[in-house]
Amino acid sequence: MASHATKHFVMQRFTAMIQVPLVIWLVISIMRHARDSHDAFMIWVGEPLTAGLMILFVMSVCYHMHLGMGEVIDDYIHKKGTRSGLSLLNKLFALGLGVVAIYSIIAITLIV
Amino acid sequence: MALRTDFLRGARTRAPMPHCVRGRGRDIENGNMAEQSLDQRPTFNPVDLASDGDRPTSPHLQIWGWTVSMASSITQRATGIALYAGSILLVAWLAAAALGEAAYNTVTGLLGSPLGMVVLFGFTWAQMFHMAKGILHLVWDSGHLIGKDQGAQANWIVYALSVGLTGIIWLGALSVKG
Repeated sequence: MASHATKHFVMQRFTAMIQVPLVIWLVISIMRHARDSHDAFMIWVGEPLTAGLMILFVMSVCYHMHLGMGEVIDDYIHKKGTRSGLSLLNKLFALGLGVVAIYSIIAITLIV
Repeated sequence: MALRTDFLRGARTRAPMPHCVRGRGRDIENGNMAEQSLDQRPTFNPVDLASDGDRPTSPHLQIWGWTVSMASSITQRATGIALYAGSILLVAWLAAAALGEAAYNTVTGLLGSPLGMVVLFGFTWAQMFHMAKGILHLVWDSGHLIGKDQGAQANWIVYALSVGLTGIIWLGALSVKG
């Protein structure tokens, strides 16, 4: 893409567009599975479609939220050192959350 | 996205002028403004107002009257930050299930407690708002609804939709037999 700013703009919109149908699917699914026993929950998450959509959702959300929080940090943190430190923490948080989530989903598919 | 402020920084290397220069009024009365040298003219430099002189500052919230567009924009950022933190809940649910039945029961027990339900209710509304406003942003990107009044109406719809959807989701969730 032409520039860093263009990539930021396009990726923010791209992930947002992916997430709209996924959020609707996830909300309806959570309504149905909120009171699941452990076994029932494992079977549901272990289904290929559920696991696949969840991994897609997690990847998209982690990218999207790191872009959003990065914007907030750039807007409000004026001190250069603090700003770059928080930006790094922001990326690590999004990355760590994604790793834990995707690892968990794959683990569930292997356990079931 | 960084704003280009280097052109403003140039103003700083000239004399650091206060907003009111002695003799200014008299000069204006005499029509001598044009004769003032560039250095004596009052300058307004937004860079000087920034905390470390690095970036310009936004106008302060306190001096603006509230509009729905402004409230909605702020809410979008606030819900985004809330969802950033709330994402931990969803991941905790998945990770607990992967860890085993005991961990799963602990996490679902916490989320199902009265406090947990209040948090989840707020999480639901934040998610619905962020999604609705996100869709509005996509519509705006396509060049529609960008008039002042249309934009304001669309923002009211976003608020109404977020509340309505949250209500529907919770009525649905609570009526599911567990």
